Amino acid sequence: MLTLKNKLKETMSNNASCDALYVNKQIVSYEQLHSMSLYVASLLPKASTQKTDHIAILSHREITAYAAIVACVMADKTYVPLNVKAPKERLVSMLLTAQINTLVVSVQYQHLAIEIKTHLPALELILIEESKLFLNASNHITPFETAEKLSNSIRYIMFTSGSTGKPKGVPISEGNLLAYLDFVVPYCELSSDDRASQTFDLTFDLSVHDLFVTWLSGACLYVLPESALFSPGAFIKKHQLTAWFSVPSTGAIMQKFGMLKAHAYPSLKLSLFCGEALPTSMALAWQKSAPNSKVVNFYGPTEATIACGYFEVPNDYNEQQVVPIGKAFEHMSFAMSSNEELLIAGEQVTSGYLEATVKMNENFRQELSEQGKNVTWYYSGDKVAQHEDGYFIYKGRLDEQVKIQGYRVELPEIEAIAKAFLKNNLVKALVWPKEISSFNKSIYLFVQASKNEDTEQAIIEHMKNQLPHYMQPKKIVWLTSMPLNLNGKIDRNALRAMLE
Amino acid sequence: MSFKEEAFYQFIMEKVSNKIGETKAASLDENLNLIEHGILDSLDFISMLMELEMKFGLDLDFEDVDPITFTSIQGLCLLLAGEVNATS
Repeated sequence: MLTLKNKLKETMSNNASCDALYVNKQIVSYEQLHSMSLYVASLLPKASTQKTDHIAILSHREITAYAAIVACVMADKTYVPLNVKAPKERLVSMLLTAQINTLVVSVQYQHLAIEIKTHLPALELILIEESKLFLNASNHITPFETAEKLSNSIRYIMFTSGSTGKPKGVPISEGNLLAYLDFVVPYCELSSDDRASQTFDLTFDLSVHDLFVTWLSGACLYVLPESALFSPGAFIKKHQLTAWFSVPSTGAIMQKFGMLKAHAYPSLKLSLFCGEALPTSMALAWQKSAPNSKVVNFYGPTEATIACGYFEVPNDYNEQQVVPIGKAFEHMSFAMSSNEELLIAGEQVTSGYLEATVKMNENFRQELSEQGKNVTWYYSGDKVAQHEDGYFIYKGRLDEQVKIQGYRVELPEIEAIAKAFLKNNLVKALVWPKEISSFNKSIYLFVQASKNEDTEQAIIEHMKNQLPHYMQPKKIVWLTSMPLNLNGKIDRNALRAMLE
Repeated sequence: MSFKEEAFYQFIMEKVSNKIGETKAASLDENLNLIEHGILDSLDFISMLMELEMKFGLDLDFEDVDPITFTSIQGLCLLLAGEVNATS
């Protein structure tokens, strides 16, 4: 079986003179991307030990980030993207969890990297600069050969919110990712004539789809600038994008601000949505706005590699208010537990979290199949119903995980941090508005204590130092007494009523 | 500046001040891209736009607008003023 590295090498040489990447008004050809990646790869540690195999990348929507990721593939290293917008302490904790000794950093974020290094003195920094990448793109660099990776070696690690108060590291193997790509690349039918969007931050695993589906097809990846993310209409038109992939919130914002008018985007032929529930009304508006495009809802948790289920929205679909999750990719399996939880099995499911606790491991359970084989089922926490035609419909969460513009947020993580800081257990976080399809959800934190300006400032500051921006409470509500329900538990409905 | 434009300006400055503090907000370059420079994130910006719509009875339409033109304090003020002039 071909490795990701070999597949990439093949498309990069077959499409050498074609455009591979558009970012910050600059175009990079496949040949340039290849040379840039070999240059960055030549700066990475040569030895292959556990200590040197994991490479963190600190960069954001610039060529350095993409060259560094391809470099990791070329040098058989695991890449761990870090978000430049995340608090420093969170980044340090991720570097520790993923046992990282090498950080590739864009010169622009050198200051942040040096601050991180003060907490982790052994961390080796590799600075890369855009101008040097271009310079080296014209030089011929001899690729250094490394031992071929086994399919169980880790291709990337992504972090998601963890209910214990610490982010969870999800390692995805080469085999997990190839299983995804082997199905999705042919499904998307892109070619060197296509221009595909890149909306997701590289720390969001849906970005992995953008990079490798586009590049294994010889198409060009168009990276949206940060400020175009909530108003991408003009960008799609200007660059005549042919493939779109974003969270449904982006589409809902476009609908809200007049960007989904009929026939606005005739260039699009494929539109994918993933990361949160897809409102039917938005999907239908998108169909009218992009009349030549298929509209597809992708579904899947990070633990099962990018996405593992899909539903093509039929024209004039009107059965459900939220587009169904659909059915599993052909090489994957869905099942429903007795309490209506969606279970996922197949080659894309991760082998387990980094630094997993017993409780975290409970998400993965082994069962004997009818054929007598051992199958690992991932318990998704998503509550579903099954349609008579076999596909699955999303009904909500079985735990306290919420989605904020596609970002996974465990409300108990926020509560754990607030409880520890305030030394007070009467703390509850919730999102509002409550509607599944709302794109302007915010987090509210309720605390039973008398309001004190200094404490409020201190807790806000602490949250900023601990949590990414989308997890920070919009408001803290101080209560003289926490409303309880008949079982003596905090009454979330009563709290929500206070916000209305 | 007209009365309306002044009101837009005040409203936007208040949101920016809430985020980065009054002193910093006051010394901010009015042409600085608020999103690219991490002053406001996209969630903040969208909720600000929705509040502006509600407060001033606007119906914003960004169909062909390059967001780079309205993600600064001055840019947004101009866009809002244009919106008001177009509808009144």
